[in-house]
Amino acid sequence: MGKGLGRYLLYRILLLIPLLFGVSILTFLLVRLGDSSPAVMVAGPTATLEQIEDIEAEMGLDRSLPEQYWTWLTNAAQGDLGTSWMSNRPVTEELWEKLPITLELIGFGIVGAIIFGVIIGIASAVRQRGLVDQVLRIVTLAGVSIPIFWGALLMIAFFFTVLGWAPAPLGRVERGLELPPHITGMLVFDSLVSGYYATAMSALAHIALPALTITLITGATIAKQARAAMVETLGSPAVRYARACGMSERGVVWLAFRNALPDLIGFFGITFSLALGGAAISELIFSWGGLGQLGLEAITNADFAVVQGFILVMGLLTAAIYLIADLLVAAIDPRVKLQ
Amino acid sequence: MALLSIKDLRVHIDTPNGTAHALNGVSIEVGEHEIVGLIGETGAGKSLTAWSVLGLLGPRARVVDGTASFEGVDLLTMPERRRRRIRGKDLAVIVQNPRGALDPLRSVGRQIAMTNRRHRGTGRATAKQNAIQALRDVGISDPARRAKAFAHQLSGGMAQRVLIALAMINEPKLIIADEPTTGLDLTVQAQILDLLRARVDATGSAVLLITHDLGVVANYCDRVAVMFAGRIVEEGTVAQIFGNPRHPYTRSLVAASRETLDEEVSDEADRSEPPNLVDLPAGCHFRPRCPFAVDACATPVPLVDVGGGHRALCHFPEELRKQQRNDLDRAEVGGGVGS
Repeated sequence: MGKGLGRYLLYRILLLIPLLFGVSILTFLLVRLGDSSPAVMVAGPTATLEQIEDIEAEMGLDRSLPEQYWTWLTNAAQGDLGTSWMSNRPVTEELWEKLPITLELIGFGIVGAIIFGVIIGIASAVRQRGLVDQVLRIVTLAGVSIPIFWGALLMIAFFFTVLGWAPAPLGRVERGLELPPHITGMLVFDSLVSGYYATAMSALAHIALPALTITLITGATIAKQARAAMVETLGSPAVRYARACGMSERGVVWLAFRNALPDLIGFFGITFSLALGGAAISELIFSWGGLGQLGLEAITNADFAVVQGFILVMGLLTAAIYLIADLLVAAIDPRVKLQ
Repeated sequence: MALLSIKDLRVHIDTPNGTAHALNGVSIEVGEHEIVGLIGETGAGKSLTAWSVLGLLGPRARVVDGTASFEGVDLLTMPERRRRRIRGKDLAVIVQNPRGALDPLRSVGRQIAMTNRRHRGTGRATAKQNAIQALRDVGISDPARRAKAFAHQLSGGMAQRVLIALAMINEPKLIIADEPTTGLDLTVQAQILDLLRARVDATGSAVLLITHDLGVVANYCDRVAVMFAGRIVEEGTVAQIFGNPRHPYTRSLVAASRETLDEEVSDEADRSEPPNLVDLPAGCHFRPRCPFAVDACATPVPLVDVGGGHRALCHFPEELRKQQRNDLDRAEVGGGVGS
């Protein structure tokens, strides 16, 4: 596998280049074809037309689009994604700081969704038309049809306003608590590793609702997918034959689950990229201050450099997740050959 | 006492069109060390009989009456837990499409060893050795290496050898072989059946061989049961069935395999649409297709013993004898039966 794997990884990374190229051109055009100009924002409401044109020239926005793109591309190739006009900081620095914050949120949300979805999916496939199966049908319908922002608001209303179990949806941790030294940038992880347990508890309490929002949105579809995959493998000739060989019911469910996994892992990859979008909205509502919030704010403020960098990171993340999913499938399924 | 004794087995299946009377009083006996062929067209209920005995009917099928005693104990009424200890141990199964039946994610050696461990309590290392020996016994060269192969890496014939090895490893008293050569090349079919026969001769297992191929029955079986519309319509030794068929359906099967299509037989072939199991005709089920049918055939049919354990489910088993004589005059016997 060693040499083949190296070659395969190289191939997948090479494949990224045209992908990212295409994504960056598309973003570049979409951002600039809109009405909003950063120069107008920078100049403020009382600015004259001349002042705005001066600022545009300063930001390089008066040049032709290919020229602008070429400048961005050559800089990006050297690791410089430009400067945000909102914060006046390099985009790479800002993205690097926000990335772990968002990854932690999505991580909790997705792991929760996978655990919830797989258990419920298996349970309802094993006892089709049973109680779990009936409940799942309703939950799935709700999960799919409730918009993510509405789900988040409902949860705040219920767990924070009514029950008072959750902390206020403002940021990642209680104010005034001592923060751990920066290791990964993921607050729960860093606090636990450095022994800041009070901070870790607060961070966990804060991450619960936004992560649950993501779990709610993605967990239902994962459960549905897991159910469908399990129903198929449970009805397969392999399961029938295993039963005919005296395999126990537990062994049969395990067999069916293992055989459903290759499909499921592929689906987890897709769900993760869905969760990236959902996370941005969840972040905005909970003032999370991660990548998603940064990206959304950049879009409303026409902070071109940040939007461009944000999309780039999202593309890379999605590609990385798909790659990991493919590697996992290849590791468990002998029929799959990487090439 | 017979090893397996199925008595008056009745199975109903719920279909969108109503209740299908799929098995209508099937009785078969398989003695020790005996190979019994169960033959009939698709939908006659051959496989259904087998899977009823195994206790592995689908959710829509149910046994409504009858017994299936195996070594004197009724398999149909015993708890599933106990049946599970018999399946794969004393009562093994070989199915068609062996590549689909094997677990695609586990090596074949491991699957054989698992069955051995499950039913015989063998240790891990011993089971592995046994599995390799079992593969050697079914004529697989380099069995230690082949044991590491996965189902998708095997040819159909090779996979069927693996299934025979898997069935044989626990030295079963009875093997149910459900169309074991369907879908294989003709030369491979013969190899597989020769192998099965050799292994059975060596171990003394009995076999219930389900097939729709008359040639297979003629070459490999001791006794034959012919099935039509959920009933055994005729049973006897191979010589009795082929030399002196007493049921018009058997006669049409034998004649078709000899390719001596005389008038009545081609008439029969024209009318040979499968019987509607939801709405079976009264009396003899074969009546609508029978060239000799008369009014009396609509009354309940007796199972007539025509001598030497040769039985036919027909009102007029003697009538065919005259018919048969004519056939023989015309067809110039001498050559073997079937392929």
